Amino acid sequence: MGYKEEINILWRTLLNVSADERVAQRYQEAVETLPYTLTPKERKVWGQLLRHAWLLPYVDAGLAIRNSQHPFRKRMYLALALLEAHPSSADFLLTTRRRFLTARVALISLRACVRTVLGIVIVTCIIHPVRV
Amino acid sequence: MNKRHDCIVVGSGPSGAMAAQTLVEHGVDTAMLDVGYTSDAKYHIPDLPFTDIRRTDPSQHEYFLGKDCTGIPTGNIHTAPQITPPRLFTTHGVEHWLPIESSTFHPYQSLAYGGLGNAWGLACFAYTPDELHGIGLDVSRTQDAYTTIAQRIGISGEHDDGGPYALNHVEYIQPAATLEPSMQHIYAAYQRRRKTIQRHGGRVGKTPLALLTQHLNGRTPTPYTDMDFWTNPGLSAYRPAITLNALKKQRHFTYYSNRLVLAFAEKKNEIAVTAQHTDTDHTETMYCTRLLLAAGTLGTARVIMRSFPNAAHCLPLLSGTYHYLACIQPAMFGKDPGTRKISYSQLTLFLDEAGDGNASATAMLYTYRSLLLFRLANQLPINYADAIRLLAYGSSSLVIAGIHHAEHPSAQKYIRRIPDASRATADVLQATYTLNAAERARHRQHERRIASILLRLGCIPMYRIDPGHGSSIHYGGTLPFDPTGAPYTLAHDGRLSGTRHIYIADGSGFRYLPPKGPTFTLMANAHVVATHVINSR
Repeated sequence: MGYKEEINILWRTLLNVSADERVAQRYQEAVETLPYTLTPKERKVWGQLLRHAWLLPYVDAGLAIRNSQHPFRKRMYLALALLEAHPSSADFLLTTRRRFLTARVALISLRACVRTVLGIVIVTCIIHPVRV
Repeated sequence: MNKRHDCIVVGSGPSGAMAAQTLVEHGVDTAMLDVGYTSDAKYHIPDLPFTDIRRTDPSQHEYFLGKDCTGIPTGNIHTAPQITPPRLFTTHGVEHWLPIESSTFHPYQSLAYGGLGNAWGLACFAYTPDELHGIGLDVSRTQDAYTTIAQRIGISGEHDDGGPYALNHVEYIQPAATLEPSMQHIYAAYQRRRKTIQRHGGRVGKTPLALLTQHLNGRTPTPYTDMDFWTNPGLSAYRPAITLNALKKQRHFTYYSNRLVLAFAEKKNEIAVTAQHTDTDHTETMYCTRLLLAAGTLGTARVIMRSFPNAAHCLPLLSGTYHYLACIQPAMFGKDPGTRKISYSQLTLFLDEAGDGNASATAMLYTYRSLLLFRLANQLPINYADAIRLLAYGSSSLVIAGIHHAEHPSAQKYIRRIPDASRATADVLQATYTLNAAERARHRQHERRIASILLRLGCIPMYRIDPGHGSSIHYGGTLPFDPTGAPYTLAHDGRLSGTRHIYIADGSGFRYLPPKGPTFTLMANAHVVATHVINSR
């Protein structure tokens, strides 16, 4: 899977936004410059995760608790930084007046908790053994 | 031919710049030795509000994240978020030229043109007479110097309830910056519950800032674009480079860049100053009749310990202890944070437990937007997709309290110089910095009281962050003022004991650090020391 597809999947997971060619180029350069490289085993698991992108938030949540410096989480962090420094995320991230805001916050908080619990299980069963 | 000057100033930070200005204004032939790194990367940042830039500029990643994304903070480091990619040059070359080994102390040092003044948060606190006395400074001279510095750099503030703790009798103050909605809510809550909060030891005032709200010497007022961490339009924020650039046009001033001062030797009629060229590695000796060290507490300590290698093994150290308290302000939840804002602290909460006019701790209040939310998302123990949504929904109600504690010397706070041939300067600083149980308990107690006052101001404390010792960028105490003239102390005029014409114009002499930013006092002290140098000629 190429960097363009990878960053596209990550951005869609994070904020449901698509990345263009220039962002993909930026992502590739950053991955190659910063200490975000994956071991062959990790690359294999990462590839599977990208193919089953619905799993990404759970793995991310589990790693946030178990190993926040894991390379998978670093890649998602990089994707998030690139996303926030791009005009396509501005309207969402800068808008503070929303309808049903309290309900939204409650639902997302609940979802985050569920993802964390399931994520810890997934990370313990899949990601952690790979790391070992 | 050997270079000779009346006075050599070492370092170009806030202290060095102010000292040099005073000397040059009095016609003293002054040279400044400095490494003076500047930014290699040129960023094209539009003169637009942060929100417009975010919505329109396709190249924003270059300055928000740095070229090649090297400005994205990695690891669990919570310190110095203000050192953004356009300011990364501030710490350039430090690991190579100013190595430090420590597991308990992680300071910020600078070899940049303008020193750590490039990353200064602009807070200008004039210390109270009790604080100045405790530090070891001449109260009357320093108070006069505050006004001189205020005239030079331009300070905005207000003589409100925080005035006695922040401004004292400093004159020439421009009107305070307009408060953004979040801070208006807090200030209004304080006015409503003023008596109760004061009964609990709290005072709230507008933070005095070295930020213009009116024109001054060709500089323009803040445009309220909330881009203060990335650019400085119209030079509304004071930086030492403004003074240095003006000094370079003066006949009596010579600026030597790429010079890292290693040591000095005081002889009968002159002082020999040895500097290493950071570009070619060769050393050079310059001569002067007065030497004024303003290389920052740690930089000056290195020079002193190298100059007296047989005697100085160990020096005391002070580093202001600093914690963040992230708060939620329900009144701002879902509200528009406004487009016209500044990124600096606008309000400060002073905790005066004893009611004697001296703060035992202070909390500088910030809102959070232009430093981008992804940094905060990295601190939350949940997945990024939900974290960024929650932060976006709640960003307008987020208030960060930066809590400063007073710092006193102890046997567990010191530095030593260790010879090490593998280093560029053949030595390394080793630092030990730990608080004792009583200090930790006192800090906890102050923070509990600040948290309870914040609740009364409508801010709910949620999360405490301890960035570790050194993160405050407030250092001092290595060569404390001491009227007895003991070795490695300073006389009242800033002269190093045992020398005739070596003066120290940075925080090295401070006997303790009050719980407020020291930069304004450092500049005032540098002016006072430079005046002593002039009078000693």
